Amino acid sequence: MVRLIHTADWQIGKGYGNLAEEAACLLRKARLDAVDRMGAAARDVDAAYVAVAGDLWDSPTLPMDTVHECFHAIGRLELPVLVIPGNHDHGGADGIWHRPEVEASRQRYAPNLRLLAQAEPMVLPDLVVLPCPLLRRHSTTDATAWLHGFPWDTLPADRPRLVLAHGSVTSFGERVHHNVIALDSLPTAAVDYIALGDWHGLKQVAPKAWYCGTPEPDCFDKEGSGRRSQVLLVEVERGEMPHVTTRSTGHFHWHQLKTELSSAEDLRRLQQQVAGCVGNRVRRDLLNLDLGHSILDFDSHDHYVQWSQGLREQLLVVVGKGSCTAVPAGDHLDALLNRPQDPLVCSVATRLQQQCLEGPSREIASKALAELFGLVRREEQAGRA
Amino acid sequence: MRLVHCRICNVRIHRELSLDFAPGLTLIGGANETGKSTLLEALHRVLFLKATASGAVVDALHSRTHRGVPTVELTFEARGRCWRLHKEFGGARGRTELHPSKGSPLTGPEAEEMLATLLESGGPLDGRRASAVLDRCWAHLWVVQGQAGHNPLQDRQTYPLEQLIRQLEQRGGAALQSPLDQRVVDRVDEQLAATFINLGRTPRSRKHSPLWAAEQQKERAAQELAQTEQLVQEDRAVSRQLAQVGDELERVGGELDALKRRLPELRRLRNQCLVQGKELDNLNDRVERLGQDQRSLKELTRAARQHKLDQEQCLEQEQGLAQQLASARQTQGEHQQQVNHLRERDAYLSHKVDQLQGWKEQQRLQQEIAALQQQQQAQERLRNDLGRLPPVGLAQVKELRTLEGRQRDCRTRREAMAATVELLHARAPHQVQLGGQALAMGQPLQLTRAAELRVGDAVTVRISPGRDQAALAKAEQEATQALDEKLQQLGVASVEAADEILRERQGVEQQLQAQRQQADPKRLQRLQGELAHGEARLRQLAQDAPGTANEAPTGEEPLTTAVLERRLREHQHTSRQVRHRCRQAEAALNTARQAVATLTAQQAQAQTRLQVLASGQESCLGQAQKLLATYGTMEALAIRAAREKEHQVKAQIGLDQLRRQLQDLIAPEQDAPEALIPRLERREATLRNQQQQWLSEEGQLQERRRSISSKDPVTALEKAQAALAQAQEQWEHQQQLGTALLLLKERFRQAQADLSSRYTEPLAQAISSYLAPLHPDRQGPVCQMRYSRDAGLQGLQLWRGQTMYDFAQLSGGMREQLGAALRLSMADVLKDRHDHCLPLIFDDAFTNTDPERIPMVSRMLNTAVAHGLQVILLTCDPQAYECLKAERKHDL
Repeated sequence: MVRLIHTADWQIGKGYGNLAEEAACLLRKARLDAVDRMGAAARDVDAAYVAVAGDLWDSPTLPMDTVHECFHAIGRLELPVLVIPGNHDHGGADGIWHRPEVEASRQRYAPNLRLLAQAEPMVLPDLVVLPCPLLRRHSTTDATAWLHGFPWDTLPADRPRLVLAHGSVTSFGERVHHNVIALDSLPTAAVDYIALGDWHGLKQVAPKAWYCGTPEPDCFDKEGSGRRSQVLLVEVERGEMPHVTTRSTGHFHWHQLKTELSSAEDLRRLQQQVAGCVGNRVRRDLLNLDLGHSILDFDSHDHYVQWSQGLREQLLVVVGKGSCTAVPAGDHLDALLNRPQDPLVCSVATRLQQQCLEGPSREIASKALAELFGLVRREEQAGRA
Repeated sequence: MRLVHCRICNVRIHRELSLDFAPGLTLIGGANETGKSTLLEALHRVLFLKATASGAVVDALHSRTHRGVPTVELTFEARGRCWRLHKEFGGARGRTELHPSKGSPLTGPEAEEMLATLLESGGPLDGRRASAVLDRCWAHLWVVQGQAGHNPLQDRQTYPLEQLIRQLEQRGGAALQSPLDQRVVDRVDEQLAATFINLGRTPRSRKHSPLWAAEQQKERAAQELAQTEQLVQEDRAVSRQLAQVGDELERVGGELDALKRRLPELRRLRNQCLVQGKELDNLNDRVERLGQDQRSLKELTRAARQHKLDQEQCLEQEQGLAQQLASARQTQGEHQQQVNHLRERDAYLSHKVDQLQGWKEQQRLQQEIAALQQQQQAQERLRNDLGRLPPVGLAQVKELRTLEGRQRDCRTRREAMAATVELLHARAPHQVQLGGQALAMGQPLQLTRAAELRVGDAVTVRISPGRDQAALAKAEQEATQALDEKLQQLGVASVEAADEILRERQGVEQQLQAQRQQADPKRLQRLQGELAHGEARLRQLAQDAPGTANEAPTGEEPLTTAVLERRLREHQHTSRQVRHRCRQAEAALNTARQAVATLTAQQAQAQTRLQVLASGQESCLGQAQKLLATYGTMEALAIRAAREKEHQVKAQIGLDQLRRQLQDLIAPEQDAPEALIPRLERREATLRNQQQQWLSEEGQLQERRRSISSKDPVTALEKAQAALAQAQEQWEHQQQLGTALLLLKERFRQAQADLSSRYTEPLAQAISSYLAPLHPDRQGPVCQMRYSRDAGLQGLQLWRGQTMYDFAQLSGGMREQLGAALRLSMADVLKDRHDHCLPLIFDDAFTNTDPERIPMVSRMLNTAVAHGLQVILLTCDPQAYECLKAERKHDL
């Protein structure tokens, strides 16, 4: 039985260009720190190998300081690290692995890293590795194709067989046209574990095939599964089903919420939801908040503005989407609607209020009503002054 | 307010005019220039113009015929009292008095101020202001001549908008807008103006507005995103190209390696093949040459013998040809002689024919000349005949006939006027006497002068013929004398004889004319010229006669035309025969000449061939001698050839083995090594070039890759996407704000429109009630208008059928009627401020209205009176308004 860590999609050097530079810097650092956390996990379970199923690097043109830092972290693992090139760090002539300075850095800082850039078995004393590297960013051929007609009897029968591959399985849908892996074509009995990369969430796609997710999450989870920040601890033995457990390695927490506020109660529920996600953590959370076309009365809107300001101070990143418009309501609205001394304003406010309630352009009508309220308030204040 | 009485003095045509106005309808009629418009003007001036005013507006009141200051006195009711207004327009000395029915009178400015208060006008006008605005005072109530077709709403200054609105608000119980309303609307307008341009049509963001800035930011972000996307695409493209270049380099390298192994072996085998092939070629040449020499020697011996035989045969042929040539030349000479003889004979006969034709022509000309001379003689005779006849022409005959006719006419008139007496029966005929002579019974007697008829003694009758018989007789005598004189002058006896002579002269003249045409002297001259020419030609032919041909036609037969023609035909026939024989002889001569030429050529060829054969025989013998000198004998030559053939077979076997090896190396190509090796060399060079190019391209791509990577395209793309999303959100926010403002503006506009209908609807209803007879079937208002605070009342439109028409689009008559209805409607609204009555004056205000519509206009005015208004109608045609219920009528 061999115990190993299955990880993938480190994407070291990812830019996070959609975020502020300070946050991006922290997020980049967290990805490097995750290597140490993986090392801790490996030591905890006494793992023999760390298998990286592609995309260790984010791009072929990373600056060398990042490369040195990462190799240095890998070197600290003091374990054999088996790596195949993925689509971000493919093994082609223009890939990062072909850069001489990268190879020099590897030899210097991470001699324990073994790059498996050829589709050929690597027989280790206790493990047979069957790497399926990507040699270009977008490959139209199946990287595992070389295993379809492989003479399995030429391999030692006493060691577990590990397939390392990077790409999308066919069950993901027809929209994927490159780097596709035909998982069904692999002989289930001939291999013992298929370590997959490229899908950033945790997913078991076959009895012996797993996507491990990223060790550090890198984007807002659109599907809300939240299983993005772990490595897999795999116990594999020849002819047996693998035993797979997860180990969390993430530092930052990414949240995505979508709602539409129309009352103070809605706002209160949203605040509770966010508090449930963030807790008392400080600057370790990122929130993507889509408010749609929210409309609040002036008091609630003031409350919302104050709350969102506090949220920005607590969280690392708050990405706001949609709009939250303050409209007159209650006494404010009554004051606007019941003013016979100003027949025009009264008439316009009444019509806009009707449009807000039932018209097709409710949002615009709400904004117009809010604007009218603001204008009237300013004029009245000016008149009193 | 209601007008009661007026008195005007010294105003233009009016020395003094005093009128009472009915409380309701007053009709003032008067022809043109009777002072109707002056009356209206005087009433207008007294109400609105200061008495002390000066200038054109006052000068216009002065009369040219009546001295004195223009003075107007007007009594009216207002504010529950009766007022008497007296104004003397005397410039600086002008005087104003206002006498209320109760209370003390007011004078001067005090009176003017009170008047303005009663009228609710802006105050009395002095001369300077009046020239600008006087016409606008009460222009909505009083229609001066020529203004009836104008739209009262066209100029906001001409109707009291504020008073109307106040009255309408009192009726409707609501104000249009409050000051705060207005300020809010203004703020909305300001914000819209700051945000948009082109608000009337399709609003666009104003430059430097927040919306514009957001648009700009969005565009910049989109451009930035497009650029970064392009950078990413370029990065990916470079990556793909690099992979392709790597593949190409690998392919080219592999192919080059294979070529490097294959080409040297190919070259070696090809060279060996070439060397072996050359040796074999030499052997082949030698074997071939020996065989040829063997065959040549045999052939040369045989050819020498054949040449000798040919020479002998050729000599025999040459001799035969010489004999044939001599015979042919003799035949040619005979034919030549015959040809010469025939040509001479032909020339003689041709000359003869020409001579005979000349003689024939000479005879013909002589005959024609004789005939012409005879005709000339006949012509001379006719001229003599004509000279003998009297010179009576057609004119003379006509004149004679005219004279004869006149004579006949005179006689006929005289005879017609004469009295005829005839005794038909008498017992004693002798007792019947005329002019003293007894009348014979049964014999009529014509009387040319008066005569007495006696019948016995008892009866004497004077018989007088008609008219003046003596004058008639004289006229007849003169006519007869003129005819006789003319006949004598012409030398003829009578008119009939003159006719006969005329006919005879005309016949002779016609013959003479015919003779002249036939015997033309020019023709005779021409014939004589031709005759002389023919004789000269005959002489020339006689001189040119060839040989015995100069033979005159003086045979036994006399020379006649027939003889000449016969001889001519004979000579022509003989000439044709001679020519035919001559052509035959010439053809035979040509044939003989050709035979001679052919034989001469054949003889030359035979001689040439003889020389060639001799030369060939000599050459063959020389070559045979040379070969024998080289090889010795024929047998020695055969042995040497067999030995060389053995060497040739061995060399061929070695070469075939080399070629098989080469072919194995060439496969699978089918080309020959000579073509394949250069091709492979070219391919090698091409591949090296390609390798260099690919390496160069790889270097460039790597450099490009580094350049792109330095910009971190993926991160830049993420940044650009985030920036665009932010810009998009900001723009949407601004856009929504702008749309909200536009919506606000639209809602305000609708609200204002709704409120304005409170003002326009009562007016429209009032106008409709006045114009109802025009539209008996229409439900609802017949017109509509709009109201806005800025522009006031405007957009007056009238329904005609199913269509709305602007005021300006209506006919002149309809404009007058609609304008009057609008004025009455406004007065209806405004009257409440003036004791429920206002005076309206129409001065010839319906001149364009059809006579059929005048009753409708009358009903409209009656309705106005029924509503409490006072109407004063000035017209030059008062009869047209019979159905008008005028309470008072005046004629000026």
